[in-house]
Amino acid sequence: MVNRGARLIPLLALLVWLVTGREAHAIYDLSATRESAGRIPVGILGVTGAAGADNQVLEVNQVLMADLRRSALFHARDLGMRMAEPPEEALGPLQLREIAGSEAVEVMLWVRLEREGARWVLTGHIYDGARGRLTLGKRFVGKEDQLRQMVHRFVGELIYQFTGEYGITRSRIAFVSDLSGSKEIYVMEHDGGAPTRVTADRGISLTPSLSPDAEKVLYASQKSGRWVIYERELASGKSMVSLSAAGLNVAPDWNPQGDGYAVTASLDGNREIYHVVKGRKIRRLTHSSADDVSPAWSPDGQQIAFTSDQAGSPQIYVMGAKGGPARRLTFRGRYNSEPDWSPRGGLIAYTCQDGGFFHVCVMDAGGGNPRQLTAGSWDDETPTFSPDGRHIAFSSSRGGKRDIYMMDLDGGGAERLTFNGANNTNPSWAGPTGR
Amino acid sequence: MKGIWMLSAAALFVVVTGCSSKKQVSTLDGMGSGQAVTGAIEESGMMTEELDESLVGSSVREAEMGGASGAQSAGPADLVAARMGDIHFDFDQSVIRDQDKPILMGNAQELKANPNLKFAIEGHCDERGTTAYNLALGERRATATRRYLMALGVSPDQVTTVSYGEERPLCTDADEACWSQNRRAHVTAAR
Repeated sequence: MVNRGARLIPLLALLVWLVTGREAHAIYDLSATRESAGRIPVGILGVTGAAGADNQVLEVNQVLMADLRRSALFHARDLGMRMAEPPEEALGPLQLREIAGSEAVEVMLWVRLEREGARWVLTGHIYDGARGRLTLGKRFVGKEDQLRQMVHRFVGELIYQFTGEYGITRSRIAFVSDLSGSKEIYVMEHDGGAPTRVTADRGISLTPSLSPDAEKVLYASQKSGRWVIYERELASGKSMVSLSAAGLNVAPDWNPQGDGYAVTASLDGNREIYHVVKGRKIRRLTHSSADDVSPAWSPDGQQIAFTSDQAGSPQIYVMGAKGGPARRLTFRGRYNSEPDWSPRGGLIAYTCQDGGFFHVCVMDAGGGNPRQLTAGSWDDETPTFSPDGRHIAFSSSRGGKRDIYMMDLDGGGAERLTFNGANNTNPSWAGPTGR
Repeated sequence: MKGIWMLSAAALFVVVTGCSSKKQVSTLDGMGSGQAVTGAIEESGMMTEELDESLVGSSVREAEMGGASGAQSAGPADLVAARMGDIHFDFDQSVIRDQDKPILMGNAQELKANPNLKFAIEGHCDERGTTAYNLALGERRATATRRYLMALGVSPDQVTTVSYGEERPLCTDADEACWSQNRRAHVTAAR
């Protein structure tokens, strides 16, 4: 298991670079823009495959271009060369340099798809345009339904070269879907690929929280007649009751270490925030006569944001991780709920109300600079940051039914991720970003 | 069902080949990644860890048995529950409205006339608002209703509460006429 605290150190170092503006080799400006401006120009030398693999090549190409666009780091375009041979062998460094220069690209990619028995081999090469040299070549081997994952891994390697992290390429989104007729927990790849049902509880399952390593999910289920927190390992399917206190047990949120979680429970009467530590101890954190719900950890584990109606309407508050006095963060509007803290700190996203509709808002973690990211005559709810802090997923009824979407931090670039024809809600996005 | 999303659950099996500069092979088919690709929705029913204290306890299998809500014939409590009326709430409120108090008085009489039958008060919300907050609000409505019934002399042992949040609407139009029906407390036979 990856320790999130240990991962933070290189991230913080990276942030310091960015904030201070100090130049460092291979560190680029990470400010997110959807257009090509500010992005690293990438040229595609070819995405080709063996005979009879046209459909697979098409899919690989689509996933590759989408991953590069979604990275918010690269602006990729096909150089129209359709190279089937390894470019460093077919062309050599001088010619590769020349191509990079005339096409004004800093990086070039080449992908080849071959069949090897029943398995597929995706070979991905990364070239440094300025030197015309191969900087990374990697073969990914797997089954046909793993081709998307291979592309994600390859793009992760490219992102790693520039940022020292894998970005969102290894992350997943847990969510609730009523596809089977009852609300169950599902998990999918960060881009909506491979949606898979996790539970078969046939009751109502809600408020999933995906662990920092994306290997476990906590959720609330009413299948026993009461709301109980369950923990499930995704790989093994092992499941256990995690919290079954008297009353309501809902809306868990894994702590950054992944060894416990904050949760909404009512064992002491009204709805309060508790911390379940390593599945053994339960510690009460709030002591108001109001309802305190929807806890969200800060990435350093020092603070917890939550929703409370102690002022007469649901608003976002923040307190220390061990409880104590809470400070109100939201003052605009009569309904602010479901906070989620950016993994890079700095920002809290939440569900706000605009007219009769709910939308995604974001504010500085101290409560300043609140702004609404989505607008329209529909509801957008339950924002969840990507593990690299560059995107926000949320559920939206803009298409009629509710579906999971993702967008950039400025509210642009919205992209629909679920297409199963059912209602999809309560997204929780997590996954390792480092090695 | 193939759980290819399981892939990232397993560590990549990376072999650095010696042939060329920085060339690597990653195996994605579960070799070297152990239990990677297992059926994700299989119900193992296994308990992996035992927690202490009364908060915790039953294995998933037990919980699932308790949760079976199949077709059951109507018992005496169902017949009594069917005679009890729903009460309704204002948006984001759990205060018992004056016009609903006679309904609760009638319900209290039914409950007191059947002291050996057990009931559950369901708290419901309209679709507006967020999932967790509405689960809390539904519980608040159910407990406010239960408290009112207790003040009318109903035994606390006779009624429990359960919140359905916004999960069980009576009607699904997006207007106040519909929303106001959904913001309700409803009595059923205890499961």
